[in-house]
Amino acid sequence: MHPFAKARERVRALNAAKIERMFAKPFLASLEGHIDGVNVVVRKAHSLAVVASASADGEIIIHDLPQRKHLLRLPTAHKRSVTGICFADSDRLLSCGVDQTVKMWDVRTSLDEDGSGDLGENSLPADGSKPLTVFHGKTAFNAIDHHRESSLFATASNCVHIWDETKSSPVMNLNFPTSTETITALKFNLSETSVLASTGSDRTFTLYDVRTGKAERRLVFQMRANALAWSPTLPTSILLASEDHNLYTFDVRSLTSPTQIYKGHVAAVMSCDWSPTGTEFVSGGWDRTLRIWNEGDGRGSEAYHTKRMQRVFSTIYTGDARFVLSGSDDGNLRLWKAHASEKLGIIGGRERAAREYRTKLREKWKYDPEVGKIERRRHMPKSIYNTSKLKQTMLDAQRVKEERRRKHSRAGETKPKAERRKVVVAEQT
Amino acid sequence: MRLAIRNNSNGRTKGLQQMILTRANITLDINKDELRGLGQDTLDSDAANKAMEMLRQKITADMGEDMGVVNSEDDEDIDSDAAFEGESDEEHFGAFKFTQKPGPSQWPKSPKKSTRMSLSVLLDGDGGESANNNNGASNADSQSDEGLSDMEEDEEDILAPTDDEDIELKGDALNKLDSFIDDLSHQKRKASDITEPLPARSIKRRVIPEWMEAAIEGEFAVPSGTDAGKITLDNLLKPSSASGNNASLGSLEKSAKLLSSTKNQPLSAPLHQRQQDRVDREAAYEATKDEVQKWAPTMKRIKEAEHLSFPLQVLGVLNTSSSELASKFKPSTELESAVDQLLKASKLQEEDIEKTEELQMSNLTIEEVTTRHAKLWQMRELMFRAEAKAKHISKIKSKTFQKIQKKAREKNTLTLDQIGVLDPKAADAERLKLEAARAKERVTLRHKNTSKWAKQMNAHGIDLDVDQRQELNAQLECGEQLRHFVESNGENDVAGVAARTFDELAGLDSTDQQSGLLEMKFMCNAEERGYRVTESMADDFRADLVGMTADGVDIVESKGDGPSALEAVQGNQGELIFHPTADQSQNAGPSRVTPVRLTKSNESDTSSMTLKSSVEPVTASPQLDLQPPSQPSQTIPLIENPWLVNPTTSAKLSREKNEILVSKKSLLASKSKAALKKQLACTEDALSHEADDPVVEISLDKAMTIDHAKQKRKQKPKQEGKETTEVVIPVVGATFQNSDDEGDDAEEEGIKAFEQRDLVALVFASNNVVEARSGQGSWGGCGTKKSQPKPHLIKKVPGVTPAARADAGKAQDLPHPYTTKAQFESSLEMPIGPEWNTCMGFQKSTLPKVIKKMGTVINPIEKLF
Repeated sequence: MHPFAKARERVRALNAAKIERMFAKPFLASLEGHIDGVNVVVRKAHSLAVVASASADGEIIIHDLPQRKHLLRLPTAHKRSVTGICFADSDRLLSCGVDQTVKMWDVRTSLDEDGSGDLGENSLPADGSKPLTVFHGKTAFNAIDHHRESSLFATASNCVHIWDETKSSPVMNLNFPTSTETITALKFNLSETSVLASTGSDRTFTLYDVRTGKAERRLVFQMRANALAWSPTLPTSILLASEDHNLYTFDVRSLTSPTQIYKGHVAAVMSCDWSPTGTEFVSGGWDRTLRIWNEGDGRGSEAYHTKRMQRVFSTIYTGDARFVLSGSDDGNLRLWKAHASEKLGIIGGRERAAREYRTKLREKWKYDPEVGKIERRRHMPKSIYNTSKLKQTMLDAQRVKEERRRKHSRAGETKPKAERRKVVVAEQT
Repeated sequence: MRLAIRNNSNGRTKGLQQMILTRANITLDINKDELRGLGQDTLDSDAANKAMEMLRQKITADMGEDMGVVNSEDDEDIDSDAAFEGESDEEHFGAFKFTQKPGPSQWPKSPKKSTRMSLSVLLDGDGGESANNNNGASNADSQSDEGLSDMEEDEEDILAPTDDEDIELKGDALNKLDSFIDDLSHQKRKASDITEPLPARSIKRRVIPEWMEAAIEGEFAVPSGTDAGKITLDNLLKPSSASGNNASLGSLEKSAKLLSSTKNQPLSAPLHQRQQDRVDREAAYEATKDEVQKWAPTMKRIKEAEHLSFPLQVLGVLNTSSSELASKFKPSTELESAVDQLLKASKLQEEDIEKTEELQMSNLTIEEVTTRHAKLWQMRELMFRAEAKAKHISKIKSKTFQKIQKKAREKNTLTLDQIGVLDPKAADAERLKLEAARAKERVTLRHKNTSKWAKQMNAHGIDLDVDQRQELNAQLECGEQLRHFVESNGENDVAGVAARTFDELAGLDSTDQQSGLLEMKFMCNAEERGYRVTESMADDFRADLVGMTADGVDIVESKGDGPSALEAVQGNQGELIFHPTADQSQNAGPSRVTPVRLTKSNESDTSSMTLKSSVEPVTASPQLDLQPPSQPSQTIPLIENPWLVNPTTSAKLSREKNEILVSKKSLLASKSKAALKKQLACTEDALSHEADDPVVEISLDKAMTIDHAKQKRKQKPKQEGKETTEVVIPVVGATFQNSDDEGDDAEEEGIKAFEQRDLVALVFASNNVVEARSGQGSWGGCGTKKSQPKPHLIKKVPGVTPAARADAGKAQDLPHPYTTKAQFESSLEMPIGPEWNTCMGFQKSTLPKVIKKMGTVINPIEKLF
């Protein structure tokens, strides 16, 4: 073996870490158009280019990502806020709002493959202004999601309604009997398609199955969850974005405690979405950042922020897991790279090899003090920096208080509780 | 019998416990309410079957062998039994057992039976015994499919006491459960009276209804007993059915039967809505969990995968055959359509060809067609086989096999003679071609690395050691020299050299008259012997020489030598012979040297003793050849007094070392040494050689005054002469001026040594620095004494020993997967760069975990079945 192999590799690792930081420029584009905050962003299945976003002023815009154009605008899709949208299939879009309606839109005419059907800023398609179908509910809807295979879709209001596209009234009402809550978010499982999960306003998470037609289990947390997402590769795994600044992954087979806690946000997490690969996920927070996490790594998140980005209400990955979209309160849809220092465009074989080698080196040497320092260090906006410091102080104080309490109580009376055990307050059957 | 009872009850218990256990994973503590609430849906037939299975096993096991053997199943049973607070099975379920039918699956039947039983009690008036019989029989019947019919007899006895508990046999499973639990508590209370005999109880329960009416009961006279007061539809219909006049009544009866059977039992009260919901939810969750659990293997694979290449689920690529494509083909472009039209016009399309073939076939008889087909098939088959065989043979790696194959191939090919027989012209051409090739090879490739040996050497490549490499180089060099010589001198020079050598040999032959001691017979004999040997050697050499010249073998001048110093080179593999008789000298070395000298010493007429001794210093000198020439002074002590050295040994040494023999047979070491010497000779300037010559002459004059000696030395290569002179000087010095080597040294390398000394002095000047100034070099100044340490004044405070530290033995700040420091360090030790790894290894180690295809949508995994 070469006598300086190790030393040389270390230097290379150090350089690789520096290079990675130097080229870490994740922000790609801002897709403008919304006047109010963007509540929801969804991607079209089997498409890389098309995403739809809906804002709090009742507008829905369908974007073409490569050309950064609007394919379709529905300015008054709903009265007041649009709370949820989803693609029913490739040419129909479902939207729900606080105006107690669910509307189905035909977006086919404007979604030509070559982009020739895209329309100007002001011109509207004749059929785009009118929905195909309107489903009326009795309360405001908070979320909507479509079944992956069949023509069912679910809406969240005071309970979960399962609708059929062809029927005007819900085919099924799912709710946990004793609940008087409002359902805030819901998602169908992607692989086990009949399984449905929702989060409620009274700090709950509920699991449903359309086949049995029942709410099967409910968890009560310390604080409410704002969003949820099913893993695309691990069908039992579900991600919850919680109001307590953390994200949690649960295994639906045992809901007593989360499988992992993801800490990093310094304010409530408003949205989350898995990468299609199932190895990463993105979350957007009230702290005006979006963060990219590796599944199973509770600490090391990559935070993206810009000066003008406000509270991030919605985040999604694109279909090829290369990009991330965030819709924020400032009315912009932002496009980011999922890996900050990734090079766009065609990469040759040698370059790819070099990149892979560098990545491996960084990974291998991340425990080296200097390399690790470069890897970890991030410059955050002052507000976030200060908030995180404050949060740390508060957490420390809490911990100290807990310890003191324990010290002054009878021996064995109060035992320290694992962090994971604290998350779920009650599991209701 | 008792054993059987026990076992039966045991089995029953097991069944129920198992039911409970299966539900235990829902919630671990099941209370009575929940039991009731769960009802029939959890107590499914599966559990019952299991219970029955276990029961049967238990019974057969116990019947077959002693109770002493306990297998693992039994152990489990014991455990589950223990859950019922350590009471024996008999106590618990002596009563319970008989209230229920073997398994929950058969429960719906039981109410019917019970009614029938009660009826039979009523009608027969026989009492409990017959009823029991009936009951037992029915029970046994129900169990017969489980293989328990042989237990009928036993069960009759057992069944008897539980007669009165028929009331409890309400069809509902919930009620049963309820009763079961009641029984449990009841039996617990009665734990003390184990010994209570069963028959006593049975007697007590045999209640025979009293008959008050005189008349026989029928459709007009109905009995009015209190317990048998119930009139069923059966009772009323019996007479009419007995008359059996119409079929409609039969059908009515059937429907009525159904009605009666269902009506007979009261419906159980439903659970409270909330309770029911909860139970439903539990079950639904379990079902969902089971459904989701099916993904477990997939998820495990994904989690454990080292590399994930997306998309994970690739839909099977449709393999389209060419025929399929052809059938689907439709001409789209102009060219395609044009070609298509042409084909159509000329009837060259697939269908047309088939048609024409068919037409042709139609002219032939069926036999002909079949034979054709058979022939075709045979040909195809043969071709295929031959191909397969060839493929197989080409893959065989065995060298011997290939050799045999090659030989066989050669056998098959015609030899030149054979060709000559067949076609003389072709043979001539072939021969000419071969000759040309051979000639070309001779000219161009000679003395290159084309010989077998050289090829082998080359094949070794880097593995060659120094000697082998030198050999190879020597060979190449030799070849180069040869070529050079051939180009420059040509044939006539070779002839000249050969002639000169012949002359020399002839000179050897000239004989002189001898006198004195040498005239004596033994001396003459010895001389004769020696002469013969020499003669033979000379002859050999002559023959060699003749052969060489005839072969066109070259004789080469050594570099920088005069024409007299020759190096004969044998043709075949570039052997280098510095002495004409090199080859022979190894065999006839000693005998050759002496006679030559003897013949020459005749002129001096000195004694043989002096002659010998005079020869010795000269011949012994090459002993020092082994040492490099720069250290003569060291080697001198070895032969301080050459006169005292054993003459035979010295002669031997001389024989070995005196001549430089480089031949095939010579050792590697000697070869390399020769090369070294040659080099040295080249570098040494000619002047020094000239200067040395007189010295040699002087010393030789003293020892032996022979002209031939000089002459011969001249023939010797230069380097040899150099060696001798270098050694001779000290030898002479030793004889004439004893122990004066230092002076010689000084004389020889005077200036050099002086320079060196100066240099050394200069280098080590700093070491001899005199401490000129006081205080320099020590703090206290020059001459101060260091005080002794005072142990009593040193205070030692014991710190925390490494072993006592809190983190002793624990690794500090080790990242997650590593448990020891060594482990972690070793992970860093192995580099992953391309410089230190193979190409494949590098690629493998740097492959990222997630590999995505650019521009491909990654869909969530889905069920592919």
